[in-house]
Amino acid sequence: MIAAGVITTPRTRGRALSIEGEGETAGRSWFRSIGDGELDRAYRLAGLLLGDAGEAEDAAQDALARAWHQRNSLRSLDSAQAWFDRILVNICRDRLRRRRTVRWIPISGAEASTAADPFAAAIARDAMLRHVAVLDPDHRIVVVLRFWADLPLEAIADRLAIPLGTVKSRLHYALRELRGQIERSGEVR
Amino acid sequence: MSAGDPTDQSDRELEDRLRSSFASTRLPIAPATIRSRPSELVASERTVAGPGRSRAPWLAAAAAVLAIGLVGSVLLVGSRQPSKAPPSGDSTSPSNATASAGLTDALFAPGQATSGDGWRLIAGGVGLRREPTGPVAPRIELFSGAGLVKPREMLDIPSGAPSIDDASEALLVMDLLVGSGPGCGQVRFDGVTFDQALHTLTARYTQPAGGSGPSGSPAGCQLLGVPAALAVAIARTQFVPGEWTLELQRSESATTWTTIATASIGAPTMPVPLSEATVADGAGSFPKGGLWATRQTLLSLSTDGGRSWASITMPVAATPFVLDPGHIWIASAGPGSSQEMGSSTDVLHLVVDRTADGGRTWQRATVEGDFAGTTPVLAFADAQHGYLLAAGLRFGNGSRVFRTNDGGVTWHEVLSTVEKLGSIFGLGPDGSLWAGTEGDAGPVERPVLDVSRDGGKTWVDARLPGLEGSRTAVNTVVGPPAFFGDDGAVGVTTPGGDGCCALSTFVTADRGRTWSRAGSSQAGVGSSPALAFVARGRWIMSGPRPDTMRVTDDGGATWRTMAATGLAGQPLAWLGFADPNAGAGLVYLGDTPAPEGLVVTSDGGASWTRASIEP
Repeated sequence: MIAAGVITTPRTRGRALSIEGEGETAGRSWFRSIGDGELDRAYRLAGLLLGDAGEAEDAAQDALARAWHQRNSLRSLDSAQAWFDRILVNICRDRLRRRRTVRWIPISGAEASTAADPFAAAIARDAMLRHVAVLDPDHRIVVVLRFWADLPLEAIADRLAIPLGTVKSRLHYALRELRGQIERSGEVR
Repeated sequence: MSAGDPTDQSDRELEDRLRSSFASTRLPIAPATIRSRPSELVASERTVAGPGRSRAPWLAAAAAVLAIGLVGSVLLVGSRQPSKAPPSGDSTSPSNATASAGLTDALFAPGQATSGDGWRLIAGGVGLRREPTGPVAPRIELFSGAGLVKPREMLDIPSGAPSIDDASEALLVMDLLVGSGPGCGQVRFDGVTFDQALHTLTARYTQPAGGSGPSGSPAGCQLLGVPAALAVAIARTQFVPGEWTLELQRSESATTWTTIATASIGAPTMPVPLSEATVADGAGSFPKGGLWATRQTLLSLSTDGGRSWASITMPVAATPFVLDPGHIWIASAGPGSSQEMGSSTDVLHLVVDRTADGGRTWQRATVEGDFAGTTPVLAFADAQHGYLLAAGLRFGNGSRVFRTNDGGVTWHEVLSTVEKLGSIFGLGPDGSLWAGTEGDAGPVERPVLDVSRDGGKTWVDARLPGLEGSRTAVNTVVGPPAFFGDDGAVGVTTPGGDGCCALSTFVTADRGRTWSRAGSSQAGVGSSPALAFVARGRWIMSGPRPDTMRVTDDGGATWRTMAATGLAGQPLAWLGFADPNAGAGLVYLGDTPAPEGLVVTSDGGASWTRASIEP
């Protein structure tokens, strides 16, 4: 006779088992081994997506915190880059989408301008990057992952958790939008 | 031309220009705050669990930085008060109520008021957050009722900064930009007074010369759609309960003051103090009013809806399956196992510990074989009959299902497959077995929710509407289906929505043979929301704010928001109910990553108190 009326729904801190006394999971190993190169890459990826150094810093911090919380979900060091990228890109995407409704107001007042913002400045100096910066968030993400991070389309699909076909179509529309912007801006190719 | 498969000349040129633009742009390197973070996180794991950490320095530092940053303003009103016990009646001393790294220390439910000349005062919902450890600056984040106000950057805590004693109460008030449009000025606060007896905070400002603070035209100063916003950061170590008022006063002469707006703000909520006894590793519910929680090898059980708890010691620190207080099983890695990386190249020997006498004695069974690349999960229907699913991880070789008919003494394999069943595992009232996808690095290549109706031998897609045939690992099942007679419900998070994820709920009236979509929510849902199916039709989930819960009594058709007190502004990580009134939750004791604390409710989630897991 099966009598379970209410199913126990435990919530645990991650699923990976650890051997008593030596609980080194892939996630923890990755955190221990993470170097400045990875952190710079994360910060720059966030900066290119968000176009703002302060936001990039917050996003990278948030991504590290979220990755730490989910560290037991990383099953192998081989996939650490993709795993962390996915977390970071999701955070950036959330921030980009939130901008539609919530503006950040600097408390310190008018002196907080973009002049001191290294990402905003770097983007402003390059016409192409200025065009990229005004793409729709989803389009901007695929463009940055493809042409800055130099990721294959399959890797982008994995990071964004979307089908390969969707990556292709987003890239297609992003390039079309960029071409339109270039033409409208009257740039000579 | 096919999408994304650019073959023509102009596409290649454009791609080359993009690559060249990215390659030739010098981008900044990560600042020190990010560089120091991974080691801080690794270190925090060792330190947060420890008892008796000091807590004053961060608060003092925050105060000092604020005071220094706002020269000429009276900013601190400190009044020494004897330490008060938290309202829960808890006996933990304040010195043990450690403010952990990242603990949001406080706060008020939002309130607002409109002044006669069209300005609106918004106050409350205020938090002070500190990034973990080290010389990283405390950062104050202000949450006004209308949105987020970006914190002033505060760096470099000076040495020798004045300190605030643990027991003192300090109010920290920042100068704020009111509005961002042309003609908007800064409101410079001259001071704040704090009348604890009257529960009144008074913020005073003078009109900046040439500026247009609240007395100026609000037309150009739209802040998030409201005329003006005022946020006050308040950092205190102890709060007294009661209704609070915040008054905004204006002066043009600095001698006479006029109150222009008064906002009633909710009773301050107590931070849930972090102490060794509060931290929980996991929690769950079981039939007949049962709740359990673990901290390392301690397993605390309550059979009266969380009012009283009794602890037993488990042979290993792992997730138990609790059928009732007498019958508990635990699957864990046994002798000879290598480090478990979730990879098929590990060695994982499974053992199942069991007790049939409430933990007085434990016996161990070894399940033969190597289970590398799997996660073991248990489900028992009664004291004799249960299942062990070695759920397949992404880099593993597959899944295996075992059955026991003798309470876990012997285990018999019923399935070994290269397919990867999910680790959200449960039993239906008719003996059906359910396995759902857990996380985006977890099991893959199977449906979001699998069901077996022959004791685990064969599994088929449960066919949740809209997710039929979906085999992506990004849709995650919040928990195994909950059944109330023939009725059942299950929640699934999917990517998308404006937050991280959208939550879809599904219901069945025929024990899970067919499912229909009950609803979906995109508001503030994390990838693993705290959602509990309390009774037939009655579901509760945390959110949309940390101090609220959402409740439905009609199976997800309509939701109402209910205030939830006692959660200290921290979101719930997990929620479970033993009956419609008695429940338990795990509350984040700070910004993640943070330990989680056990809290309990006896009124259906309206008020929460913390519970301890003690030997």
